[in-house]
Formats: sequence, C-alpha cells, structure tokens
Amino acid sequence: MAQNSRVLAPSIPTGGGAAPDSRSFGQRLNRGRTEAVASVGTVEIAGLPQALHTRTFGGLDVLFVPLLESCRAIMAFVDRMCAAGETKQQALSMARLRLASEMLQDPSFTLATRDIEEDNVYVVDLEHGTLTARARLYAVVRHRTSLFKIRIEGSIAKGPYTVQDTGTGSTVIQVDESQMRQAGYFTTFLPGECLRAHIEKEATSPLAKSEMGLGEVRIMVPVAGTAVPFILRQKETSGGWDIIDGRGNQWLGMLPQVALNHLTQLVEGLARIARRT
Amino acid sequence: MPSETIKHGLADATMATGHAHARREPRFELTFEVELCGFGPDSQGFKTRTSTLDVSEWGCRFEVPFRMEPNSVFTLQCLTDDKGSPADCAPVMFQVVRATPSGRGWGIAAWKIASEKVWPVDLPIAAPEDPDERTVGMRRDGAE
Repeated sequence: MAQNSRVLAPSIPTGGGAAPDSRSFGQRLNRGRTEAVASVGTVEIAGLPQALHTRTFGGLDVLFVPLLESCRAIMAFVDRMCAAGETKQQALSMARLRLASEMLQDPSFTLATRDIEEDNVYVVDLEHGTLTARARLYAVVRHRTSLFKIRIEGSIAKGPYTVQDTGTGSTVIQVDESQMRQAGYFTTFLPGECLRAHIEKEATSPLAKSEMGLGEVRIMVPVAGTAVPFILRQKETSGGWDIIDGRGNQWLGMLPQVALNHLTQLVEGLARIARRT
Repeated sequence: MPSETIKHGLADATMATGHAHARREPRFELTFEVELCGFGPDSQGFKTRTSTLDVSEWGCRFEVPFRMEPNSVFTLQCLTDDKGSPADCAPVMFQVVRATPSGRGWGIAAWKIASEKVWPVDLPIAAPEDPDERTVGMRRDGAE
C-alpha cells in the first residue's frame, strides 16, 4: 500500500445524521415491495456513463417515490457540499457517485448500458434538479386493456409533477407527491385518468370535424387549464338557443333571455360586417 | 515492461461468467499513484491516495486502509506514471468488483464503467484466447 494513503472523509460532508432523511435507498424501496408486480426498469443518472437496471422493481408504484426521496436527499447533500466550499461541479460529481453507489447496494440493481428501451425509464438530472419517468400504463375496463405511454416530469425539490401522454403529446394531469404516495395511484388511478382524457379527446374530435350548421355558435371555454367546447344552437321553430356541452354533445339548457339579447346583437353585428366586406 | 501477471480461470463466486472472459485481459504490475474519491459503508465519503498493485485496460487492483463497498462506484484519477512523473489523466469512474481483507487494510479489485483512457501508458492488448469475443465486447459496452 502506498505510504501516503490517507482518508479524507472529514472534508466531505456525508449524509449521516444531519440529513433530513437518512434512510438508505434500499430501505425506501422496501416499503413499496409488498404488493409489487415484477417490472423491468432503468435509472439513468445524467453524467454517469452507465444506467442502473432492475428486472423486478422498475414499476412506477415501486420505484418512483423512493427514487424521488433518494434524489431529494442527494440534492440536500449537494447543497451541504457547496456550503462547505466545494464547487458545484465537484459536488454534483460526488452526488452522482453516491446515488449510484447507494442504489447498487440493493442487489436488484446492476449497471447496464444506457438507452435501453424499457417499460420504465427514469432519468435523474441532478444538475437541473429534475426527475423524469417514461412508462407504460394499462387501463383495464371490462376485459379490455388500453395502453398509454406517459412521461412524468417535475422538480426533485417539490411538485407538482406533469403527466403527459406521449402518444398524443397532451398533458393528462398535474399531480402532487402526496397523490403519488397513495396505494394504487400508478396502477389504477393514473391509467384511469389517461383513459378519461383519451375518451374526452375522442368525444371532442368529432365536434371539431363536424360541419357547423346555420345559427350555430361554437366557443371554447378555459376551465381549470383545459379548453371545454360549447355549442349555442338556434332552434328552427321557437328561435331560442340551446346550450350544448361539446364534449359529449349533451344538452345543458336554453340560453337565458339576457344572454340571448347580447347574442342576437353579436350575430346581427357580425352579419353587418360581413355585408360590408 | 514489468512481467505480466495474467491469471487464467480464477473461480470467483462474485463474478459472473461473462466477467470471467474480461478478466482474462492481461494485467501488468504497474505502480501508478492514484487518487480515489467515493463513498464507503454508511455513505461515508472518502478521498484518498494509494498506488496500484496491477492494472489492465479495464481494471486495476490496489489496497486502501478502509473497506470499500462491493458494487459501489468511485472515481480514480491517475496522478503519476510508473516512473513517478506527474501524469495528466482525468478522473474515470470505476465499480468495486471485490473487496478482501489484506494485511494492512483492504485489497480492492475494480472495473472501469466507461471507455475513457485511465493510465498514462498504452497497455499492450493480448489476442483473445476465446474466439468468441462478444462477451468482452458487451462488458466494455456496459452490458452485464
């Protein structure tokens, strides 16, 4: 052994008792294993030449929250190293080593080549403080299964996390961490949400494609970040106007008289503009 | 060049069969001063200097006065060449393959996990004994 071999552990702040959550990655992971179904997954840590691969604990229900917690502890470690005078790059480099080493202490994780197409792929970017997961969800209704490819992305420090359907490119839902901690969230609730969003999209698409009739006004109303289509349709006999929910072509009621007066003025005004041009 | 210490067919329960192929690459008893940086048991960080006992293109062996966790990842930066002159080498990531108690600490065997050049000298590449070199190729690409 070299004469000048020495341990410089005191110069490197470690997780130890000072960390807000000192559980190991394996301890975090064990919590979700009781009802887990074996699922393949890889975790790519930006800056690490290889990925961490598991053949059993890759499912969102098992891995997402424990990984998020470990990443959060590692980010706190980066902050402590920087506060101790270490450069950000050095702190990030150490953080990658630590996260990978902690995960590799769990026997279900091994090093593997990157860019493997798996059902579940997690990307940890400690430099930008983000966690991204690409996964497949299955919604089963009456013995029929719908497959959804999704992408969950958000800040490691705190939520919310955006769930995007990569097939359609649309945002399905924004979720808080507390929701993701609920049992069955990824296996039951989220696939259901994807299915609901898909059905809504299908319900609205015929509306967009269908031809507009005479005496018909269409309007998109923003509701909680989603555009909801409405149709105002004039009755041929009475001259009154129906209000229809465009998502399911559902009749909601008649336009009240006050609104009808405004609508009549609007339609007549537009007709005048059209006659002049 | 120091004598080669090629070790054939070593049975090691901790090494997969595929790794055994890669372990046939020639080792050289070259002493480089290296700096190691990583995390030991209980996530205790370390940065330490030691010297290699032997090296190969993808692996190395050295001793440290503390235990390093098998499978953990660390960086190794070569500081000097075999003549003791300063070397300009970047840190490279390795994985601990084996940690065994030795007289003055722990003997560590490690594999690098990327294809970067580690050593300040070019090591001769031996012809493979096994015509089917795919396993070695896979190991070098990072596959298990």
